[in-house]
Amino acid sequence: MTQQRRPLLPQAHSNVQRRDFLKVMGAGGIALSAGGLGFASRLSAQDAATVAFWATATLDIGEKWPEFAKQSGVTPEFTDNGNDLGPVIARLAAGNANDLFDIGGFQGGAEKELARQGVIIPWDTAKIPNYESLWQWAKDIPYLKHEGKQYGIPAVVNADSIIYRPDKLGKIDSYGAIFDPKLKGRVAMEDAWINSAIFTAMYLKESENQPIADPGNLSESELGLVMEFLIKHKSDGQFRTFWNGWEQGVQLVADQEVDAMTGWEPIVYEGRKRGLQVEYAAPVEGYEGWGNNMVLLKGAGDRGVADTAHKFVDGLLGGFYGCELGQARGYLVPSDNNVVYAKAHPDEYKPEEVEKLAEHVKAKFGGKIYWQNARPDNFQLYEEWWQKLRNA
Amino acid sequence: MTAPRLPISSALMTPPLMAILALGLAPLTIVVVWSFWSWDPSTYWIKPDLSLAGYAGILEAGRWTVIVSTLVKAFATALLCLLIAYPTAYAVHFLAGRRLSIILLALITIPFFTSYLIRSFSWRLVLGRTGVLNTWLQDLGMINAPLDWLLFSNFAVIVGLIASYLPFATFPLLLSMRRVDPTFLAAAQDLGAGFWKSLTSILLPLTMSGIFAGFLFVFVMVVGSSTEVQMLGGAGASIVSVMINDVMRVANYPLAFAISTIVLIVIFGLVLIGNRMFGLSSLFEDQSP
Amino acid sequence: MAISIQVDHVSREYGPVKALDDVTLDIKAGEFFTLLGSSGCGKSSLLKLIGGFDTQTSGRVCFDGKDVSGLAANKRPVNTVFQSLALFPHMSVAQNVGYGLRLRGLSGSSLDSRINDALDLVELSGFGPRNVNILSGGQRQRVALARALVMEPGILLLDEPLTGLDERLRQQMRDEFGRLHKRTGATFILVTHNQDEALSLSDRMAVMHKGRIEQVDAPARFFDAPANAFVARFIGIDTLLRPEKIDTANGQAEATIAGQTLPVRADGFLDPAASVVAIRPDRLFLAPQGAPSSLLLTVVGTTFRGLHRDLKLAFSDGQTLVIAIEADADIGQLTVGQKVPVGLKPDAAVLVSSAGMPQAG
Repeated sequence: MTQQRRPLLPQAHSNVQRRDFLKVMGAGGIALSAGGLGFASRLSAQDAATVAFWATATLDIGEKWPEFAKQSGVTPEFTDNGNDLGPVIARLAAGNANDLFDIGGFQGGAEKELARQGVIIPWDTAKIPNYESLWQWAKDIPYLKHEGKQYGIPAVVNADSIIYRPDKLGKIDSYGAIFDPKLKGRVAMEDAWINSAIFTAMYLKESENQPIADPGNLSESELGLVMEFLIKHKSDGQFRTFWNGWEQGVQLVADQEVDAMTGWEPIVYEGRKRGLQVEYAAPVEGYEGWGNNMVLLKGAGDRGVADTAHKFVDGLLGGFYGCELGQARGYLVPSDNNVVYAKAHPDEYKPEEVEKLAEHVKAKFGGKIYWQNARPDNFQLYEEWWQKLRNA
Repeated sequence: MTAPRLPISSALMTPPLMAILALGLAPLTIVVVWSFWSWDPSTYWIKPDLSLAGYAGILEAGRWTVIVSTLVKAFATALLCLLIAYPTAYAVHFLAGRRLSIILLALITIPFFTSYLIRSFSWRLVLGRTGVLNTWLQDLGMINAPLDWLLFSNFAVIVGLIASYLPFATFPLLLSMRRVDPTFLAAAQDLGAGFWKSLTSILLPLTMSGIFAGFLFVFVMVVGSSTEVQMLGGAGASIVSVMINDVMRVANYPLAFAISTIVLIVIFGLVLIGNRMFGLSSLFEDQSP
Repeated sequence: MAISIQVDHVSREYGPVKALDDVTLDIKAGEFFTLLGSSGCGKSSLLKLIGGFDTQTSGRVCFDGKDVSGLAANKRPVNTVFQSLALFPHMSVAQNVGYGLRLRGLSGSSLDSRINDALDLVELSGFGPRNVNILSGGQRQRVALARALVMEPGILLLDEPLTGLDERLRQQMRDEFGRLHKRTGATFILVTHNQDEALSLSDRMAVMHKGRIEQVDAPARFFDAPANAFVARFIGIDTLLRPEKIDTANGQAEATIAGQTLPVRADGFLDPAASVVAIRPDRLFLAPQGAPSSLLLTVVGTTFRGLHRDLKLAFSDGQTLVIAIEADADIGQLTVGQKVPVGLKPDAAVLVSSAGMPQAG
């Protein structure tokens, strides 16, 4: 659940509620939907100007899609994918997702596995003119290419670190604060290995010189090292709690339950809005970069809508989508087209704000970055260790 | 309860029976069967190779302790809910006048119109470091520093669970008390029983089906809950639903189904035992002559 | 063991409603006393106060002269047979009967023998292990009686216990009450709306109306001397005639109705405006023509009543009375409008207060 960037807007609840509904139905219900019944159905037949977009709920711009369609010439039918990559991959590999959807918008990391399974096909960047407008570091996100082919197009990026109270802790520039015994019971991490394992690995690699090659893709022994470290601190009562979702994150900071926690930058803004002195750290160990990448589903190729899909993704990078997502959620499409669009439409989007967001995120990616990995090689071991951590 | 066995009635019974089978039994059967299959890395799904890997997985990483602690939480919550709900139902049914009992019932029911996400969340504002309770206790001079254990603790989880599921205990109890003729209590008193004696020898035995139904409802709800633990529990606090979610996220379906199967067996066992001992079904029967 | 009861200026008010209105009543120890009245008259309210299930708003309830107003039901030497019987459905017959004794600390063989004695008393020997829920109505009634009587109460309250039984069983249980009253010697208080029950069982009875007691007397006295028009009607004396005047000659009162005079028994009611003449239908007879002290009345109609016939006759002012005549009495052909002489046996007519007389009467 925490893998997903919960938007600032309340409509994002629908996603949570749907997931809760599934929980009520029980594992059997989830299994059925994953196994092939499926709850998403195409509303209209395939036509040249329509694509089925199966993505994280936070990529949905809702009532702005008609404007998007006008500009790009492609109308997407948006379906929330629930954001848990395990069931998503299962529906692609064993279920009917490829019959239903053309384009996936998934958190980075699973592209390699999806390509290996043959459920996604490569993009032809030549058919995406706006691809060239992407910033170089975004093109270099490690998960986009597999065996030399382009399987992912980055559409949304940002980088996370620590939210903290400078009035209580002074300036913080290391994840060490999260594990500092002086802050026992006053810190929190996210309730998901996908974030908390990588933060810990980054700290151990950079500040304690532990032998960790890639914090985003830990080997069995590296994982053991990282998780034993977390388990030790958890058992010592270091963490007030592990948090889930936007509201809980904000509440922890706003009601002074914690003085420092790993999390999303918008929480800083929300804390300040409530009159608190809150800062976002620029840790020496670097940021955790994350991205939502577009993948082309094999079904789109089979149905001959690959060209439309390319046109759709080109539209995402065209500027309007970036401005809208930036304004609504503070998310960034890593392209200069946003600023260009805002300057051309100053009555809709404030160019200086769009530029400020772009520069701010760019600055984060100017330093050290470790990419969040939704599907590390040892992903089932991650879960096992996470259970050990929970039960420690 | 014995309907005349006419062809027309059995024809009428067919659709609901089919619905019950399709909606209830079929998914459960699938869960149980699939729990013995194997995960297939090539499809990310399962294949019909018989395997006990799912069940073996329960014994790893302390997963079984989550099942045990979930059952303990469910048991404790159900018991505490009964302790609170019984006097409440008693007051509503035997003590309050018509108008007051309607007001009391409304007070019990109204919280149910808000989402349980919001209800759980609001406990953070009550039990937190700067929450209502800690502020009061400090204002009253009873404590000097906020009590940290009020929130993000098993205490907070139990409070949240009770608040969420209390009505599931109250209503079956009310239902069962409605079936008790108040004259029974007068008769017990007439024969020399004081309040406690008439409670234990008359009212409790006659409301046993309601007590068990309330217990079972709360128990099952807690076993299926996750929000309260995620919102109010300490670091990494878990419960069966949270664990199943974790496992589903890494596509380990046989393990998820094995956990579900174990939980299902426990709940079915409980229902069977309860029906044997307390006559759960009598709650829904016509009153004896 | 029997206990006397003194009800002393007792009122029970529910907001503006007076269920009992300044009731004073003495019930003697060992008496079979009946509270008779229609529903809502206050008889059950009074029973609840005696049983201790309710508290009066004012006044006192005393047992053998001692105020028991502060004594809870479970402390009173009173046991009750409830209208609904209230047999505990989760207990066997023996457990029901032994419930109160177990609370008193009895157990083992002494408990068992007391239970068996009680079951013997109500002629349910051997029924102990049975399920109370599948007994017949009469058997359930006996269990309820045994459960109360086994406590050897000084006072036994019977709250409409025969309601819901068929006529044959009612008769049977009625005899049973009488027998048990004699056997136990306790003070029995029966609440009923059924006059037959009250008349056949009671040593004395009280007729209640609107929270008040209209008359307390031995059953026969209600017919000889009903306290007022309400009581007269309630016990079935339907003929209540308004006199024009009342004279007294030679110590014998005479009332004049529509110009005809008839002897009446008067216990001080001599004001014709506040009195009515109650006439017992069983003390009228069709007289031979010209017989003395007879009335000449016009036939209005007859009604077949099974063992007798009701002959309705009218005075010239339109007031009517009814004579019960044997079904096979040889009275010749009576036609409507025909005038017939009616004779009165001694004490056929009683002058009573018109209190409770319907205005249209």
